[in-house]
Amino acid sequence: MAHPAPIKRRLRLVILLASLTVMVLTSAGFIISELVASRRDLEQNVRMAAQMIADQATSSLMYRDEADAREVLSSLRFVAHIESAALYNTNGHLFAYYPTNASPSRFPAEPPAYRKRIRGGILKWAEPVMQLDRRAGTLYIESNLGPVYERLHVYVVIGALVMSGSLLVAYFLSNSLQKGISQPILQLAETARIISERHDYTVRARKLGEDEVGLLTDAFNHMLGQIQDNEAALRDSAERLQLALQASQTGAWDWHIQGNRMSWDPSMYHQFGLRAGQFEGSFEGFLRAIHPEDRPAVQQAVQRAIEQHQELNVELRVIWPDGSVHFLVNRGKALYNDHGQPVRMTGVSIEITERKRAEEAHALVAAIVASSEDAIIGKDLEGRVISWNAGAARMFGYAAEEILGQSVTLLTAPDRPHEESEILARIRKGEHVTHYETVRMRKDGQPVCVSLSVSPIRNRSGKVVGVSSICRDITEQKRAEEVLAHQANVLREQAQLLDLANVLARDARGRIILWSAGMEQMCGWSRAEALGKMSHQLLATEFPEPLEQIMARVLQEGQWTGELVHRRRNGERLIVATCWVVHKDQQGQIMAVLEVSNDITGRKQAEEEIRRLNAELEARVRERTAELTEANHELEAFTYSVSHDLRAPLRHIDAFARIVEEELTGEASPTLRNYINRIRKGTQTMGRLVDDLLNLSRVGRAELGWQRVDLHSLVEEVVSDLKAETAQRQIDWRIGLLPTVECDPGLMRQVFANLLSNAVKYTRPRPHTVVEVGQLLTQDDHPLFVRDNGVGFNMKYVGKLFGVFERLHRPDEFEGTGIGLAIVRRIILKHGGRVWAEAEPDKGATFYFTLPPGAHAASPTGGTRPLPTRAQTLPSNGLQSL
Amino acid sequence: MDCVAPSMLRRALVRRVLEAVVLGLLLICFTLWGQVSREYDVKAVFLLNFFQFVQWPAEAFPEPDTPFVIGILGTDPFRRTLDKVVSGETVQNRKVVVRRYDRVEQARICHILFISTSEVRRVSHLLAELKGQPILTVSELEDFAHRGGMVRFYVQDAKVRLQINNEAARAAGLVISSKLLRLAEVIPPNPFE
Repeated sequence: MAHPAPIKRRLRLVILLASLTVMVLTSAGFIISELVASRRDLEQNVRMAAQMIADQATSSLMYRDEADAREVLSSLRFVAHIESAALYNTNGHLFAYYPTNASPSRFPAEPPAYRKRIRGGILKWAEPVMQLDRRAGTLYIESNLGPVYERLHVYVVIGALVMSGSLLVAYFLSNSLQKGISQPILQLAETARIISERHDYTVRARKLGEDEVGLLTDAFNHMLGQIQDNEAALRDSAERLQLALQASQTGAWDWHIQGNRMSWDPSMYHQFGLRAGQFEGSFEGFLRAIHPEDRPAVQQAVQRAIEQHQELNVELRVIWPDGSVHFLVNRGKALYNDHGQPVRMTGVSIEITERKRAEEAHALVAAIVASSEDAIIGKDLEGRVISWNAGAARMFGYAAEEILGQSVTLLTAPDRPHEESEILARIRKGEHVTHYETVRMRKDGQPVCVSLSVSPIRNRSGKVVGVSSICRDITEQKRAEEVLAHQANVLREQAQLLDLANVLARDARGRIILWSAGMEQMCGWSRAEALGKMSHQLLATEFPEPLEQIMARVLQEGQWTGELVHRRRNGERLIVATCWVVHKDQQGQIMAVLEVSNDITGRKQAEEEIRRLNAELEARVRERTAELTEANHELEAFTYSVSHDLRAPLRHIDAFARIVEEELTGEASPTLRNYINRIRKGTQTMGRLVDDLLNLSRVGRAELGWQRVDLHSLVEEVVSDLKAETAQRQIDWRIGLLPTVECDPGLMRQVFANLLSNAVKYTRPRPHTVVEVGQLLTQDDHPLFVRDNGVGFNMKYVGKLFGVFERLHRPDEFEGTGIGLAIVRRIILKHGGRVWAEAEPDKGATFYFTLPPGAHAASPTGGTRPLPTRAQTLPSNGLQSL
Repeated sequence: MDCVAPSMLRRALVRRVLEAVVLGLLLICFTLWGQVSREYDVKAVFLLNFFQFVQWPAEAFPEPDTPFVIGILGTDPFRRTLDKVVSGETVQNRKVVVRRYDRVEQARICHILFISTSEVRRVSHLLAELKGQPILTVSELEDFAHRGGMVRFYVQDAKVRLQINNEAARAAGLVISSKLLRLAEVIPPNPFE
């Protein structure tokens, strides 16, 4: 059985649906209970974590230690699913949050009033922070419910798997269970189907039981017996009629008009080129079997025959499935009932294709002869004209009636009197004469150049009874040939030149019609191989844009230039710069496209290589930069934590040393005091060192707070601080005109503080110190500078100057940690500028630095600052008052 | 007229300048005072919070309703801030009161004793006096915790921070919560004791 019967399917469906419903309900119950349980577990986890963290965070909140609060919160990283947390103090302000890189705006502005809330898969928890009986703030936690849903997902998948497995089992079970019920019914249905398909009434249904279906089978079989008898009688009479019709190749049809049933005998099917069953058995089906063009006429004819009680007589065409057209004539007559209404129409159909074809062929030949430009002349064996077409009349000037019956020698040129009789003699022998070029005379006496094709006309038995002669006027052609011969010479010369270049031409369909020697060399295919091939297939061309677009442009602009990628015969890539030129005929249709190409593969490859190397280099630089940045960050973090941890023990040492110093009364020896003093000096120096290191690391980590800063007043502030420390020294401060710039004021202050205190420090041996600050407007990037007349240094060591802990002088000469200039350098680099120094031993030093061009918001001469015009460097006496 | 006008003008100018200077000075004073008073607001709250993180021995509370006492020895830097902070507060159902002392002998019955910077010269003597008593000694004096005081306030990076001598506190029978110690710089214990 090809298809499962619906009853079988329905029984199976009932069983499967029942089992599915039970399973879905069971799994849903299970999954929901699991979901509730796991959500409760998660909530429990969050509550426990919240209570533990809240307990630890009391002191951080009450003693306002954000760093510690962050540390406490950060232990939440060990609790899975907790995404973020925040601490609020008793005023309701956000105090600390986790993770530290989160944006503060992601947390509620105030501690939430609820304890627990679930929104969008996030569990939000607010835990009061209590120390004993005192409220210290609120802890807020957001936990992702994702894992719960993930588990749910797993359950659903498992449930689906189990269900499909069970359904499969149920399917097989139901298959064997439903058989007992469906088998007898199916058996009966199958018998009925076989009978209706094959019309074989000898088939009987098998009885499978004594139940209701058994009874039904018996009744069915009995009915079949009766039908079988009736049918045998009917078939006998029909067969006789059929034999008669078949003998005459006539088809018969019968149309019950009212029921619109039409029946055909086998000859009809044959005539319509259809197989049994392909005809629908209605009038519309009949119409559809007819050539579409003939349908209206047939329909009208049938209608007229019925309405006017006439006999139907209509010619029609049918198209067979193999596409051949056949001509039929259909005759018929309608039968009417007592009320004069048509009830039935019967008729016959006869094929008349051959007759029609013969008629058509004859008409065609006549039309061809009549319409031919050539003269087509029929002659009998004596040379008398028996047929004369319009072409002959035009060519020779005689009308048909003038020349029919006359001898064809009328047309013979005077200088060739025997030509015609010679031709006739050859024809009589059965020979053909073709493309015989000669001259004939027109009626008006003008000669005509003609090309003759003369052949014998034979009757059915093969005997030659006449001569047909076709004359073509070649007067014009002769003239053109001479011109063409000349042009061909010119073209051949051009082609030889062209041949050296890489030229191909292809016709409108893309086939190669010209393939130069240059192309042979470039692509590897010989001319013989290339000609006639589709050029883009042969070369496997890759186009920069769709070919249609290129062709559209070629048609519009007449040419196109671009780059194409071909394949050589050996498969290598070939990149060419190409120019396409189109040749059109007079109607504007493309005749050929000429492609002239130059091999640029080498150049392209070189370019590609350069591009690839560049990309590689960039990638490597990026990689190294990322590594370096990473390493720098690690180093800074390390420095920060080391310096921070070093400070505490130093403080302890200093504190205890100070206490000892105080406790030592007069009896202590000066040596002991000296030692204690040195301990304290040492710890203080180290403290400064640690502070400087911390500072350096902070500069590295700090974000710049850009502001407009008047450097002049900034430097004056720094100088006035230094003046207090150096009151006993004679220092000549020369502060030039300084610009207003965009920078971080705190860091820029540090730059000047470090540079100026350096200047003061290294000028200490000078009896008269000059420290100068200014801007060099003569250089492109307008560097700022700090200059002193101190001890200077050897330029050999200038590379070490800005390194951490790099000192060019001994600590007992000049105190210091060796970090100040490193800080200066880092600040300037962070601003996007650069810093350098120039010096000579004992001739003073100058430190220069630049700020990026954008930082110079206003130049000193720009007039944006209400300052009196001043010289670049003010005279020393004017500066003493600063 | 010609002579009088410039002199009057000059006097007016001088008065203006004086006014401006006085105004400026006042402004600076207020700003500084504001900063200082804010610092002591914080310190007052911190003092009160110690009750939450320090455990006193039972004998520190002879009566069931013995209040928590914060004593101040020497010049009071809090002025009225501490009283404001403490007023109406109860800790573990005990009232909190503030007492001010001139001499250490008066300070026997308090739980927290804030030793003012005015006592800088007597600090060694005071600490010796108070040794072994269940009193949490607090001060801002330099080296206070190193000298045997229990808690020292100091300011670092514009924040009030704590130095704690836990050894001294333990010797006096006080238990300081680890949560508080975690925040503080703890003076290293003496390895020879």
